[in-house]
Amino acid sequence: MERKRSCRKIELLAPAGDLYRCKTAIRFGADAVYIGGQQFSLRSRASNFTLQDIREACEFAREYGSRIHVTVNIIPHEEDYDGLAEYLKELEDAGVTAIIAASPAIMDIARKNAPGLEIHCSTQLSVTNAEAAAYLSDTLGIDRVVLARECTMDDVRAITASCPVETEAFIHGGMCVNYSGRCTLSNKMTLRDANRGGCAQSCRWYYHLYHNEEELTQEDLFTMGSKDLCAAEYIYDFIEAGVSSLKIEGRMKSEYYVASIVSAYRNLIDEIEETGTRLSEERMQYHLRQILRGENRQTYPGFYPGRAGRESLILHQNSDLDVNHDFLGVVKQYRDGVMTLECRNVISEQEMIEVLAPGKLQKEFPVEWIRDENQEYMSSCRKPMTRIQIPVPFEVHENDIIRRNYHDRRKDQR
Amino acid sequence: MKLVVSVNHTEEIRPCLENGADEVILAVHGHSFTALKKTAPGDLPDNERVGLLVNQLYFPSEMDSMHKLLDEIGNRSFSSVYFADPAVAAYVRNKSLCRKLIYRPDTLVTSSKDAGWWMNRGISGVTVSPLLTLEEIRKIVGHQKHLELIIHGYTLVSASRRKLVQAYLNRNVDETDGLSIREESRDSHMPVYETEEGTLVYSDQIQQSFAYVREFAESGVDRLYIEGVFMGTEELLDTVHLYRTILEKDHPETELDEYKNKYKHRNLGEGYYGEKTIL
Repeated sequence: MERKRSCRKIELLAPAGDLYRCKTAIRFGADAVYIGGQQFSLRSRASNFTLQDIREACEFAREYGSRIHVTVNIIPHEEDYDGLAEYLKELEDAGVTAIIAASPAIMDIARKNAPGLEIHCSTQLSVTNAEAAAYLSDTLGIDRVVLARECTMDDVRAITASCPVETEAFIHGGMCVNYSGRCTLSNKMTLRDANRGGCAQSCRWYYHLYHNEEELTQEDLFTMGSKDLCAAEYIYDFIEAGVSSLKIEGRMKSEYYVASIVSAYRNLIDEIEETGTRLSEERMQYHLRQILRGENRQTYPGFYPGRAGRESLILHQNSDLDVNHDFLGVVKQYRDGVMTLECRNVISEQEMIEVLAPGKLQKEFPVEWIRDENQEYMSSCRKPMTRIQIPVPFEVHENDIIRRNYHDRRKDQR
Repeated sequence: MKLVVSVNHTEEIRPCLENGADEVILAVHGHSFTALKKTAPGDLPDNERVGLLVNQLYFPSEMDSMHKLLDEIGNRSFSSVYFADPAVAAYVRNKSLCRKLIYRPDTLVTSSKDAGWWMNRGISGVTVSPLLTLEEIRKIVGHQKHLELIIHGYTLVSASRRKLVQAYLNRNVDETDGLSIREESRDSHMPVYETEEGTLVYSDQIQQSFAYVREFAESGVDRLYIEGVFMGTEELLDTVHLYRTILEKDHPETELDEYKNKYKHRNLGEGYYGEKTIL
């Protein structure tokens, strides 16, 4: 079979739980965004897109040269096929580029009813070798396979080298500790079906460990939570292996997370492509710092270095890092050197803040004064969603993000 | 219809067949992920009533080993081969071994359409997810033939490629049997097994189908599977015998009561038969 290979540069694929975050991801540089409709998708609590939203997302994406992928990745029960064929046709008509699916039956229905949609095989199927991908390509006509998160970088290279379809690999975000699609801890403990979007993350709960009657539990109870993935340091490996898409997990994540993580990866990828040579260690560390600024959980590069062991797990209480503390607000308007900011956190006079804007270097400046909507001066704003005015020494744009500035903020999360 | 049972040792093959099993399944060392006790490929017996569990997910460096095993199996007389990796189906696609394949992806087949898609690949059967209600099972079975149902045993709850217990204890895990975990707000224990392949966690309850197995057999289910993990030989043989009795005898109440009394220390339950999962 003729090998399908994308001629595009490596794709940065971002998550979005709603239309606003989808637009944020696109503005901040995502080449593609994956979203969930109100039916047929995992992460049911992050699947808020009506068909109208999806159409609007596609239109917005087109303006930026971006693409929309829609997850149709449930493991369907008998009653879950109602309306599916029609839904897939609507997605095709709306301009969706691809669906991400885990059920062969769903993929088959898509191929027959909406042939204009690319079919991306979900990580739920845990594809771990090229022969499996080739089989699914031959039998279902898939266009891309999302590799299992248990693949090492050697595996990614080997699979991509002989895979007849594009490969997509996770580069950032939450990691399941168990093989995708094969974990029913949530089903068992809460009856919430992990394979239809209801995962309660029971792996992260706390357990006592026994050997027969003897308790082996240590000071901290046993838990199975995985550190989040951050594999930015493997960016060259992904590119050289020929991986087509780098996936950021996180449809449940906030707009700030989406903006900061997407922006940071965008800047990293763009600098690599513009430079043409390997970035210096200093530049790589700069980009890693920017990426980790958006993180509030401990991270690890997953299985990419090799079989993930103790260091890949959260064995104690979750990190007390609170990166969301950095997020101060969203620019709503700029005129004559003054921005109107929709405040999301406490912001005070004389504080050093910075602008996170798509495709631009962060610029910092002090808060010289703050005015409320009645033009009354205030020393600080403490009420989220309040609109305030702050002078800015350079132009900013609607939907730019404002955050605290920490030049030397370092995160040793590994 | 066949009554199938997975065994932990080759010594259990003959007694299980003599006690009412139609087929016995052996896990193959290096190729079976969800089994505790495995048999080396070189020790597999030639027996037309023995099937093999080859449900590993294979990584690139393991593909040659998979090919080699499948080539060997193809030349022998095993009754069935359970698989989870589509690469297995790919490799034997135009070979006679394809007709012995049974797709066993743990939780991934929950509809007749998905089962039917796999059957259209020329394989022999598909194992339906054990997480379905009776109603769901009836619907699937009504629309698709050649299915297998897991009717008895501990259900696999999670499978990780990481060695979670070793990581937590920060030492090698020598305790191969008897590990369990208990969620801090619950009383029941979930058995845990850790190997080189990773960590398996099982349900706290043994799912049983005493009241439904005849209905399953009469509805056209091809295979009724007893999972022998964590069972000693005596319990395994008693279980096989009981289900054979239920299938063949109109009033097996005496045998059923004897079994329940003998194994009253076991946490027997009906799994998801009466409990539908929610989102």
